[in-house]
Amino acid sequence: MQAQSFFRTKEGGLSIAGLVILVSFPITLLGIHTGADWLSAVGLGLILLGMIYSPLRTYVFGKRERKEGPR
Amino acid sequence: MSVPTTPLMWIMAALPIIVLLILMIQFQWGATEAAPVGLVIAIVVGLVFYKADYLLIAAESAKGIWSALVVLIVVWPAILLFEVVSEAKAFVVFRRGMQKLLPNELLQVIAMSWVFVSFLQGITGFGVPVAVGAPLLVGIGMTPLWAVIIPLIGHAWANTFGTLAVAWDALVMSTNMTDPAMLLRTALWAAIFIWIWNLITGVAICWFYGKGKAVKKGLPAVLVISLIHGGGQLLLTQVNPTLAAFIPACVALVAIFLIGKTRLYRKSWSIPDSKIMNRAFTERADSAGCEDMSMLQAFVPYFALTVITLFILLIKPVKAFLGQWSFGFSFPETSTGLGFVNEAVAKFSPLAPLTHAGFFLLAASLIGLLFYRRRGWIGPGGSKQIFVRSIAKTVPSAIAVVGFIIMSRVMGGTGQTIVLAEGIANVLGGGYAILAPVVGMLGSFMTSSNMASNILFGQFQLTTASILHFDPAAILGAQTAGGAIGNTICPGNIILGTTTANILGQEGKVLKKILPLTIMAAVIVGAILFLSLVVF
Repeated sequence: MQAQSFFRTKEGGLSIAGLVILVSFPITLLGIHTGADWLSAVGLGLILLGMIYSPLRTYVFGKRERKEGPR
Repeated sequence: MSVPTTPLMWIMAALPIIVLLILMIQFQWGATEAAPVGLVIAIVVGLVFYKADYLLIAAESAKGIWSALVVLIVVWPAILLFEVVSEAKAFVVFRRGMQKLLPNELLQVIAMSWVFVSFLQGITGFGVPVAVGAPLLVGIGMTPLWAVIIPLIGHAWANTFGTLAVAWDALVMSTNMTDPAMLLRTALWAAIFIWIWNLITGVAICWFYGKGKAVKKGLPAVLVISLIHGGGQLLLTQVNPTLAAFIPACVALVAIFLIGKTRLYRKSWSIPDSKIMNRAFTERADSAGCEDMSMLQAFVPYFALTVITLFILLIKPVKAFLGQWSFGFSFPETSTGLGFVNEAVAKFSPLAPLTHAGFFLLAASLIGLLFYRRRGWIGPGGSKQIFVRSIAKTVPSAIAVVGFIIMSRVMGGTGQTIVLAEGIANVLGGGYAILAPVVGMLGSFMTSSNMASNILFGQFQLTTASILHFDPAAILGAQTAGGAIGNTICPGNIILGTTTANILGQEGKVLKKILPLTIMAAVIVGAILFLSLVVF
């Protein structure tokens, strides 16, 4: 239960985002070295996904949560 | 390369930086939120205007992640070092000890935020001076925001010839500078410009502490320290550039304590309402524990850091032996639709873990941890808490560091960065001399490194000097001086500081305070360069 609560926090979300970016590195490298362009594309996609988590969480989803208030 | 340097292309290249600065300074976004926005804009500009394809973007992004990892292996152990010292309550002892050694509070600030961080920059870079200096300053009672700002300013002068002159060597290498006379003249110009910045640094620290009153009080000490730093560096660049920052930094470290014994500074003195000091903290800290720890014992991890670093980096056989284990990844050649080429590289940014600053910090942290545990100053369960806290603090800053570095790689790899520099040169013509140091600053801001700025723009500055019939030694001197000044505002260093000072998210506030000072300094250097090249 505690692990679930941690990953719902911003720090937990950032940890997951960080892991996504880390995982993207070998995927992208593998795509570059083997010429598998689709792998490079997947890696790039994961990088962007990991990167945009924080601004989205803070300024889009976070704003919505604050507007709607606690349920 | 045939990337057109048109106004549209220049504006598009500047867009990621402009948006970044607006978000951070105007809207006070944290680096973790602002960096991804800058990155996305840089990618879109690269794809649409600079005709890069997604494979080039992917390759530069992978390079960026690798470069960021090399930085992050400094961040975590730097935070670990702070947590070890904090858990043992050594900061309290440190603060009391500093008050006894240097009763003058302004001198304490000068000693920690300028002299000591310069010493650290002299021996090791990678943001260590800021990462280590910021929590030390919080420990002596400075507010966290200023504990980040002041060492950022304080350490920058030592960037070019510090870390055993690695940034200087990068300039020499990237411009194929082999003529001994040219080497000496360039080093002389660089040292003159850097001395100016060093003096501005000392005066600025006094000003921030207590405006005119503090400047009046601190000026004699500032002049002596600046003479040692700047003057010493200037002399040594003509003899041995490798040690040109390290030796003056060491001498200054001794000198500041001798200055503290003089009639002017040996009595207790402070400005009670100094805006950079947290008086509520200092009053609380005076009543905290650790009565049986001496100042030397409190400083054990920092002694360990100094000894390990000096032993490994200064003793060539040791450095060669430990440095033989290095690894990096190969990347193929990539190019944009406009013909901008990124050459293939066999081993990109190789990491030699045993000669890296992160290893020195980790070793110092573990030595400190073992020492404090043996003496009972870190209790049972304390070690686990130290590691948990350090990892928790590293993660948020990691995203920001990765974002900034990937952004800089994408901008560099698509040709945007070169267009920015070329645009400045094309528009200004003879007036380029005024903004030559700003180009160096731009390079540091983009790459978070004086060394990388010199690699990126060294050849460009040399070519521009040749076209405009300027003395190349003076222009290159301004390039590296600008790169050193730019380390004050580079996001990577700022994030290191805000992370270890526990104010991650306030990078915009830091930048807002520092940016005017650094731009002013770069323009002063540029004005002197312009006058000497064009007017006289």
